Amino acid sequence: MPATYTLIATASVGGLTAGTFSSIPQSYTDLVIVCNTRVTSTSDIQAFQVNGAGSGYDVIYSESTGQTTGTGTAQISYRVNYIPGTSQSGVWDTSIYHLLNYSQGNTYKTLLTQGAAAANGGFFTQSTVSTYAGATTAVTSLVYGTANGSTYAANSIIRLYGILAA
Amino acid sequence: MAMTLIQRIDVTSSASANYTFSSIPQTYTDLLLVTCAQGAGSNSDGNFVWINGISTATYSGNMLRRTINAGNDGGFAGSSSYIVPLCYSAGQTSFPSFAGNGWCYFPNYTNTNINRGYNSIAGISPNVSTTNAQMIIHGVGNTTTAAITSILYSGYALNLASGTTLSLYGIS
Repeated sequence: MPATYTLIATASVGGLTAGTFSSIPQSYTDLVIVCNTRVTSTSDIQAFQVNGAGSGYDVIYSESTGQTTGTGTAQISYRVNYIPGTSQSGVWDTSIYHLLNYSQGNTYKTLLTQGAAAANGGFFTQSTVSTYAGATTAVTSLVYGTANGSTYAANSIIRLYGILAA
Repeated sequence: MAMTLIQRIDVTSSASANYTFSSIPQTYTDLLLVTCAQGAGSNSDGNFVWINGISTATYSGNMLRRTINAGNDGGFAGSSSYIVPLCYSAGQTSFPSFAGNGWCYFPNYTNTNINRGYNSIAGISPNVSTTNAQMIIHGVGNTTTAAITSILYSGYALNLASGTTLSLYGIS
């Protein structure tokens, strides 16, 4: 069986607010990011930036409870899922992100969010389509962090996988 | 390493609602359950998952749902002895040959320091303009911190029909 779904890196982010997957191999077709995280504050929002870029992101999103949908432009990062914290005891984010065609050098990069956390109340499950339109260069690094500076709880992990169309 | 098929269940009769993957290896980082399901009855139904045989009211969920005729209905958030729908099945009587499809992802399933949580996406579109055509993303959790060693997939109120397939993969 070909290695079509390969773990590239695991980030143990407990105690941190941000970090970077650097030197991402360019040999896969797509990237998948799996988050299993909490924060030590009330809650926060997971954020990603490609190649360290801090502007040029837009988004379309739909949330669960509350039925909120919306769009945004000129964001500072991909807008993705909420991370539960002290307001949701024992609940962990289990979001999955797909970054398609990340090594192609002539298209803007889109992140698809399948966000989900088992929070009883609140809009902790989301679907978003978010595009970085600042540059078309290949994604060689990916910054992850909490949008509002919260600290990830102990045992939080973020994994980066490569998908190969073999 | 890769995405490895641990077990595939091919349903060959319509005699049971429940099927179990047991003795799940503890050697992967994550698990992925892929389902293509029909119910032995009429309407579509909301299938669910129990982990480690836990059937008490220790599950919670938060859902994003859109139906073809009601738009985004706000889904569901609550706690129960089961959380539906995790994936869908289409009733064989009303929707012959239409299957409900879904996948459910269990990250970090061997870490015994945290509560279990999982993420599903599922949909069914049986060529109708009723709520039987819908899609969901669902976050589900359980208060147990035990590693996942078994997964029960249930057709809820309907037995699963012959032709249903359930595939469990290990991700590493």
